[in-house]
Amino acid sequence: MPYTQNIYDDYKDIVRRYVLGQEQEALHQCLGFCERVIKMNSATEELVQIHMDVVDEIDLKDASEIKKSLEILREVHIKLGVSFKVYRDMAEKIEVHDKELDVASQLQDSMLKTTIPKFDGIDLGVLSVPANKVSGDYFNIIDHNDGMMTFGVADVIGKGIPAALAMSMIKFSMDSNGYSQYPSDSLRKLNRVVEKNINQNMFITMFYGMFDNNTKLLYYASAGHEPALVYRYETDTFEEIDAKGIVLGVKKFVTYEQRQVRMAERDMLIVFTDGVSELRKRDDTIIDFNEIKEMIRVNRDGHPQDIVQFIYEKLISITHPTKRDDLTLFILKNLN
Amino acid sequence: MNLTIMTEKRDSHYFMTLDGELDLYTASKFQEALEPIKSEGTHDIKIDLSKLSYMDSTGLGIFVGTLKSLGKNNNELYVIGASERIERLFEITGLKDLMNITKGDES
Repeated sequence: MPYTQNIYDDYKDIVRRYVLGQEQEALHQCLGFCERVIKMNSATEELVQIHMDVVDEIDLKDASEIKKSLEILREVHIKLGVSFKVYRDMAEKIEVHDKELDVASQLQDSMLKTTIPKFDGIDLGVLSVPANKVSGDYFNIIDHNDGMMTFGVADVIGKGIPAALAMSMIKFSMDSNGYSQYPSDSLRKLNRVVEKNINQNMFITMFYGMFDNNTKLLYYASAGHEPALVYRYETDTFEEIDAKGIVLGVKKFVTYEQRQVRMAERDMLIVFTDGVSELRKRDDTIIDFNEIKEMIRVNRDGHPQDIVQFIYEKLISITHPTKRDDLTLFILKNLN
Repeated sequence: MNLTIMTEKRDSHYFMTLDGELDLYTASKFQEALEPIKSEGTHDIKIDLSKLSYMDSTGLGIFVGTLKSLGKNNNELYVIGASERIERLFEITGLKDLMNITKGDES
């Protein structure tokens, strides 16, 4: 018997009640039966075989009984036809959704691509890897050609095209600052734009920095983003740096605290998204952040791009296969 | 891991209990449970998170949407019994200042 015993017993029960018991309402069981057939992935052509076997087993011989039993088979086929149409409609919707995601993904690849500029006295390393087709993470780096460089690392909460559009708001707002502008002012301006244009459940966290290559001062502000780290080369220690500020897109009028920190020779700034700090491991536990600090420490003499690549490869090897998040790592190393 | 939601209407507010994990996979369930309360727009919401073991940023997004929606009618959002890790998420994102967070089991 190729079909399962449960399916067979269910069908036999319907035939018994409807044909022998003359219970009209037994036909109502057909819908539930069809749902089970679909759920168990049974081949629908097996139903005819089930029908024949049931007719044999309960020994229907009378032509009127056999004819009545066929009404059940007809009912089951109608119900399966309806379920199949629902399934096909859903498959079509998924296809449309997939196409939309492709558009959003292409948009990110073309319009939102960031090239990493080169600076004297600073080495940069960035890696941003989406968990799916469309990333919720975004970074941008701008060289103001006056010894100032601004950068932002953002995590857009919300997916698909709305998320890609929210990123374009960040990009164009950052790019339109033709001259270097303090991070707290930039975030305040950006929040005004985002708040007006974002969906209800969406918001953006962002770490915004400006590095003055002449004075080696890093100015920073945060819109509810994960605190960043400064690695002090001389003392081989980490400092957590954070500034108070709410995520973008929630409140209309907001001010952002701005702080500054001086970078000594070979010190590093490490900014990341929660795909790194909240990474779910294979055993479903959350990563101990000291593991990431250790990865940075052992590579402290390397180029930042090699360091982010090293960390990424390590993380990918321990990450939970189905609970991945977008992941971004940004490292700035001050060389002198 | 799944999410179980209990909703209870009380005099001045709705009381909700979340049990399990609130993430990308379970967020829509939470969203659906909140929708009728938000569209009614007349009550504060108190949410007990003491049985919530994990929350990601998608879950936070729903809190953000709820805050915006309640704010339109001057209603308040109360969060009770969040774990240290979850409370840290509200803290870092600055959302803590927009809602009422208490440690107790129920208030």
